[in-house]
Formats: sequence, structure tokens, C-alpha cells
Amino acid sequence: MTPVIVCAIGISPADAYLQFVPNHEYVIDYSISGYRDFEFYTEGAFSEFTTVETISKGPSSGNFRVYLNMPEDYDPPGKHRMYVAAREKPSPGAVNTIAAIRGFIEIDVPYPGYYAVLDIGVNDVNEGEPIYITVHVKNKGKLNISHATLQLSVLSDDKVIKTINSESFAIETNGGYAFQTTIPESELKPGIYKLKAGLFYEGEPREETEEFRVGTFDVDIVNYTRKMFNNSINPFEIEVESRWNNRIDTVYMDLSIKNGSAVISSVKTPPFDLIPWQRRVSSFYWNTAGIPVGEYDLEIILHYDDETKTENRKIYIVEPLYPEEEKPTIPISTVILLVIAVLLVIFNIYFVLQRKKNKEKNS
Amino acid sequence: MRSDISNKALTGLLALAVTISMFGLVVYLTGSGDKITGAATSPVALARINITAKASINWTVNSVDWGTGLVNETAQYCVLNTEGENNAANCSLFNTVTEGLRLENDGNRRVAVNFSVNASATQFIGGTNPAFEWKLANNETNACGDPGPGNTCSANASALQYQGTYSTVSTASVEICPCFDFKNPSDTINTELQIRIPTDSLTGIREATITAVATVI
Repeated sequence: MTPVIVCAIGISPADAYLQFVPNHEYVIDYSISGYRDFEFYTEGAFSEFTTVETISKGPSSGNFRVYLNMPEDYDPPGKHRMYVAAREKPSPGAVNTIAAIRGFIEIDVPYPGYYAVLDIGVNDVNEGEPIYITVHVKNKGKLNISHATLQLSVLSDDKVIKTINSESFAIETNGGYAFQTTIPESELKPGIYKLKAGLFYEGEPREETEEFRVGTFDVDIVNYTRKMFNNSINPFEIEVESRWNNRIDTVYMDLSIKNGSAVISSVKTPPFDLIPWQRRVSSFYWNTAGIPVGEYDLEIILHYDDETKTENRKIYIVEPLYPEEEKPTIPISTVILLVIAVLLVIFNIYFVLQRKKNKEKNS
Repeated sequence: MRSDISNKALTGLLALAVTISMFGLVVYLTGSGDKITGAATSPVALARINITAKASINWTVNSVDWGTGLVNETAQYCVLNTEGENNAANCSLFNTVTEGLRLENDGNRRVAVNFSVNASATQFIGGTNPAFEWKLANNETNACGDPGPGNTCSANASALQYQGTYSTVSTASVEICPCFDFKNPSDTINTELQIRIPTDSLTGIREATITAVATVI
């Protein structure tokens, strides 16, 4: 066996993004670094429209200029990747490893006729904060859009509660337009909303929807363990969810099992923090020694930051499920032995009686 | 020797120094007056830098050399690998190799990696039932994952193919890692190799090329 030879190779720039422009020439310079001789080439979509000029080339590195001459037309539309690559040449007469690296040029080919796409930008906020909205419209069609309008609808439970209309605007092919608006603070109550953006222009109308939330400084109890076994140590879980769009520090709960107003058992959860809108489960063990079976009130005092809130739920203490005791069974071998013993006793009695009878007869 | 400066003058200088120091302290603490700093003459400064994206891979451990040897007459096969396998009962004179190939992403872009070899076991070794196998592992945790947002790879230990046991190498190009990270210390993948040489194998210098193609994603 012969050794494997060293190999490493790099390409810069690693990627490039171009718009398709008919008959336009793009020029991109590439730098290759390696450890041994290599070949530089292009492959994939549009590679047939490229020519490569060697600016400089050493034994293990080089600079190359790629000329990309766009054709008159290209089908299909959309994004296409052409790979610009460098591959080391294997050394003759040896077992080699080869390293090859491929960067890419992404070419965005416009769609025939009118074709626009839109993208909504809206963030979660807290109550009392304005809601900033940006809608980006991009003309990806071959024709210029001369008259477009946007209609934004804010939906709560699928009902439109607010509508915003843009002025008319125009976008050239490959161009873009950003519509910005603000919903004033205190206009929306805390909750979950949808923002629907409709684009109306010469082409097929477009619609996109994005969800956003208006937060309030609150933590909800989402779920908890409803049943525990009495006189045992039970795993207990309680899940909470933040309704606030900022971090909430030091969240913990005091939980009490109550019979009327009397507290039978209580625990305190370990403290934790909640990032915005986070759901989190707090897990611990609860000793139910001495708590009789029955239905009880579970008082949950939730502490978060400097706030406190109390909720009352139900909890059930039940009998533990013990495995059924196995009934003692007599092994079959014991039964057979017993039958044999009984038969032997019967035979013995028979033989003793028979002997006695014979003795009496003889005498 | 006559004194250079009188006690009176020294006291005066001391009092002046204390006064100036106190004045400076008051100005500093009250914030009144301009603070003297090495201020720029222009209110706006611009720092500009253009960081180039570079994709690069490197076989940092690139040599596997079992040397020259032969299969023992009494054995059916000699199995050699890069984890120290070299059974003297079956193999004679070969080197014991304890380190496989290692590939590093030493650029600043994540890449997808394909592997291929240019020779099958039959072509590379020949004979009856030869084997040419590889086994891959993340040399550093999370080196290979799934494409994440931006220029990141998300953790997925199973994203790397051919892990755990030796598998027959592929002469066709196969994607072994969909997202090979470039961030230290999570940017190296190990490739262990194993060959099984039968007694009737081909002889002489045998050639095989392992190609790693990294594509920017």
C-alpha cells in the first residue's frame, strides 16, 4: 500500500447573488488557495454562458476571472445555482485523497409577465407599545408594475378588526418597494393576532399572513398533575406560560393541598426564569404521607418578578395501585405424591386386614 | 551646602499644587466645564471592513499507509484498518495504523460534503471476497448537523452518514454530511478505513483515490 497525500483547497468568494438581465455581462473574480496543482471550472445552470480567464496561477494557488454573459432569455424562471469549483489533481502512482470545493453564483430569473412577491415584517410587542409593520414587495416578473396597492388587515379570532391601505406605487422589474406603517400603542389589547397583507396589481393578487402577539405582564398555568397516590412520594409537574414579550425573572409557585380552609400539605417549586412567551414545566416530588384519599382544593400562588397571583384548582389523592398477590398453588408433583401416598395407605390397610382374616381362618 | 529653595517657597508651591488639584477634582465631580480628552476633530467616524466569504476544506490527517506486506499462507484474509487492526496470525509485515483520515472545514462558510472513491474493493484489492470500507464520526461534537438559519448548522448527531460500523465505500458520489460546520471547535470529521485482503488478491502497488467535494450551502 502507498500513502495518501495531503490535500486542502479553498475558494473565495464563496457565493454571489445576481439578477438575470438579458444580454448583460457579469464579471466576478475568484481566488483559489491550496497545497498542490488544481483545476478551476464551472458547472451547473448557466455554466454554458461562462468563460474563465486565468489572471495568475501558481503551483497551488491562483486568481481567475469568470465572465457570465446572460442569454436573451432563460427558462425556467426562479433561482438557479451555477457552481464555481476547484479540484485538486491527484498525484500519479499514489493512493490519493482529493479535496474539491464548490462556491456558487445564484441567478434569479424573472417570471414571465407580471409576478410580485411580498414579505411581512411584524414583531411581538407588549401592551402600550406601538406595532411597527413593514411589507416588502418585490417585482420578480419581466414586466414593470405601474399600479400596485397593499391592504393590511389585522385579525383577531379570524375577525377583521383593523384595515390599513397603502397609496398606489410602482415597481420596475427586479425592483422592490417597502411599505411601512405603525399601529399606535394601546390600540390593540393583549392577545394573539394575525396580520394579512393583500397585494393588488396588474398580475395575480398575492396574499401573505403573519402572526404577532401583544403581551401583558402575566404568567398562565397551562397544565399540572391532577392525581397523586396517598402515603407516597409522587412526581409532580406544573407547566406555566409567559404572556410577556420580555424576560420574567424569578418565577416560582407555592402549592397547597387544602381541605376547606385548612392546609394539609404544601410545597414550594424551585425558582426559574422565563424568556418571552416561554412555556416551561417545573418538576418536583410531593410527599403525600398522612393525606387521606379524596378530592381536595389545590391552591397555587404564582410569584413572578414582583407580582403574585392565586389560582384554585382541584387535585385527587387516590389509593396506590399495588400489584395483585399471587394465590398459592400446589405444584402438580406434590399432588401426584399425595395420591401415591394415599394409595399406599389404602393398600397397607387392605393387606393388614387380609392378613388378619387369613390368620383367623387358619386358627 | 546652601539650600536651593527656602521652606517658605516650598510651602507656597505645596499650597498651590493642593489648590490646583482640589479645583480639578471639583470640576471633574460636578461635571461642569469641558473635560479634556483626546477627542476626534470630526463628530462622525467611519470604520469600514469588508470580510470575504471563503469556503475551504482541509484533510488535516491525510495519510494512511499500511506499508508492504502479505496475507499469511494459513489465513483466508488479512484485515487491516485505521483503528489498529493488524492480526499477526493473518497478516505479515504490514504497518499497524491507529489514525484515520481527518477532514476540517477551515473556511468561514458551512458546506455540504460528498465522498466518493475511484475504485471498488474488487478493483482496489481484488481476489475472493475483498472489502474496502469506511466509517465516519464527528471528531468534534456537532461538526456535522442539519442546515440551520443563516450561516449555521443545527445539532443533529445522526446527520453524519456511515457512523458506527464499517460500510462498503461508494464509488458514486454520496452526501456524507448535509451541513459541515466551520466554527471551532466543531469543524472536523474522522474517516476510518478498513480493508480485507484475501490470499488471492491482486499484488503490487494498488491505487485508490478518496475525493471529498464540499459545496457551499
